[in-house]
Amino acid sequence: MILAAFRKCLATTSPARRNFGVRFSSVSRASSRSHELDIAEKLERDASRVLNVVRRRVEERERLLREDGGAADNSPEQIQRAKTLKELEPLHDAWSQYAAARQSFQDSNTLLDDSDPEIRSMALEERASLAETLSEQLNHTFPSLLIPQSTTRHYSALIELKAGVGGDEAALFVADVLRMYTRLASAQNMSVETVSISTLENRNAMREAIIEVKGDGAYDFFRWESGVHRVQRVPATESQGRVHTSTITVMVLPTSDSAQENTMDIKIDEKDVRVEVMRSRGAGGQHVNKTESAVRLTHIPTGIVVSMQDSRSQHSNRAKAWQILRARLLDRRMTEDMVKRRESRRSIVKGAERTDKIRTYNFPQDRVTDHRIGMTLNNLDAIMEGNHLQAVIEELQKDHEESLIAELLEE
Amino acid sequence: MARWSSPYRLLRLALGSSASQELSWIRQAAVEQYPPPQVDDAITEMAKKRASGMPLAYVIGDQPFGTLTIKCRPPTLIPRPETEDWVLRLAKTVSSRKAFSLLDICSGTGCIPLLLAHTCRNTQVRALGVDLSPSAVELALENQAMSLNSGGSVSGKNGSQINFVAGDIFAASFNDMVKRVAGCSAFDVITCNPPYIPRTEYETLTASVKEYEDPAALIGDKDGETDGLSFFRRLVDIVNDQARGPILKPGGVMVVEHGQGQSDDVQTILQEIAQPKRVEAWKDQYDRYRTVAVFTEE
Repeated sequence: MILAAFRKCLATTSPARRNFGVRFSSVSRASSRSHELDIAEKLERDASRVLNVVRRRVEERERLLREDGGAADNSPEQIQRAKTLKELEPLHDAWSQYAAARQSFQDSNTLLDDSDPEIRSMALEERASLAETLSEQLNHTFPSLLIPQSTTRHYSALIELKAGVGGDEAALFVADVLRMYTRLASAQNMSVETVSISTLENRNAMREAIIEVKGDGAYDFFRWESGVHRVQRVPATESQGRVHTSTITVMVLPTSDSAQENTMDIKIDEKDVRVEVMRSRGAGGQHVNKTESAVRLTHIPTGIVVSMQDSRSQHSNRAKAWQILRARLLDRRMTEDMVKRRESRRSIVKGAERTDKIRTYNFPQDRVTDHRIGMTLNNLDAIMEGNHLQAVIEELQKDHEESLIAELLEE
Repeated sequence: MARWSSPYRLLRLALGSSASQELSWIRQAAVEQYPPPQVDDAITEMAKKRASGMPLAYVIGDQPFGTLTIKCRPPTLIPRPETEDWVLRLAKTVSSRKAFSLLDICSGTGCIPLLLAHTCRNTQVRALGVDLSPSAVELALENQAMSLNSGGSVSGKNGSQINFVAGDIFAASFNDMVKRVAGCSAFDVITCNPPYIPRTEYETLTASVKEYEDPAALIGDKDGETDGLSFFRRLVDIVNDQARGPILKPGGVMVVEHGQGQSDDVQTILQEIAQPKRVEAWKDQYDRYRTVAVFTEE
């Protein structure tokens, strides 16, 4: 997998950026010793950026261990120190293993000159195996340990689906995709709660649907679904068998229970939000008993408007509207952060525009293609009715991680 | 089923643009309340009732109120969103207490004490709700049982206890009866959403109120008075009756809901409460003055 990504990287990046991908080649017994000595050195030279970052982190850990500042046990500094040390543990372990393997490789040099041919042969085998280990660590283990943990890993997902172009057919597809996401969520042991559904007269067709997928990692799992999904198929109502193209828009927002701890909480000033409730006729109160529960929130600084009228309970509509507003503001802040990072240092991590066509579901050709990674799966019915889309999501996640690694090494 | 009598069409003719929203609520309720073979018939029956003017809360049989669902039955007054608003606001001011006693007068479905106790989940709430109508008291007890079953804090987990009893606020023996039944000599909190509509205004209300909800729960005129404020005056007498000890504890709070335009008059009336106090006027979510809160000094 890493190899494929690196090849892709090689194809798209300038020569100056290519140096962290390495192919290990086996060495024949007939090669000169100086050539064999070069293998580990060559590996390290090619992975120098990775090694530099790893060394810096290991040194940071050692520095933290040395300075036990004498600050109180519960002070924020101590807590942060303990947290950082814990986070650096796995990298330290990997580094120790690497150093040991590297040393063994070094030590085996002398055995190559041994008079006993069996010993020479064993040495070569061991060096081959060690070199493979070193390569694995340099090209795979270290990079993945260097990626910072996702800041959104604790968030649940608020998924909004809207019918786009295509009228009834688009609305039918909203329902289909909703069902697919529900199955995907179950397969991940995440619970799904309906927040709001707006159906057409035909209840299998939805103009709009909002669901909450609860669970740690729900947002991280579903976030790649944001964008425009295009469907090509013969609609149920189509009498002449023509294929229609419709679209739906999916927006995945981060959300959480207030009880959870998060790294990026949104604080909304109540003064910034205009709350409008459906104006009751006449004098209100005891004078009127019409059920009017619709609520609309307008966040004045950003212009974001959230309406909710699904429930008979004004209280419930208000709570859901606030949840969605918070999620939209958090999403907006994350997007702004990413745009800033991209502008300041040519970030490699891909952004997503709301209007990007990310995926096409072609029923006559029985395939679904994700345009971001160029991945196509077949057996569309099985995908829509099951959780096979997970394979695409996993590829998207890996692609993202590789971008993060590449970006990290640019530092 | 012939299309001309479809539930949607019935509602559309009767309600206009809110038909599809109300139909989806009716459908949801039918699915929740009836086994699958009966759902379609239930939807039709409910749509017919709604189309003939019955308020939705009576058609479906309940009304959401804060985090609770309150069972509703004619003619007991359906809980209003304005009431939900001030009860939640009141809850914020008392929820930090470890315990408080509550007297809710004219309790109807019992929604006020039930929501207060449910919202103040870390507080031991001992409440008594009083209503003139025995059928309202019966309904309130059903709501009490329902909230127990749903495992809310009204489940006695934190020792909260809510009781309902029939009684007449205008009876001379009201204070004694209430103290005896509640088993306490005074209350930390008194709430009241009394009938407050003048008879002349009542006549102008829509059919969905006049034909289905109890006029005795709405008309606030007693003994020839015409301003709808009789109950507020009676409340002041009750609170000022200290012959056998106060009914509102020193430091206690009383909150009353009133009608549009009555804020000044109700504040004036409540100023007659003898205990030293501070009087606040609260607006509802529709930006109307809706409630007066009296904070007495300790």
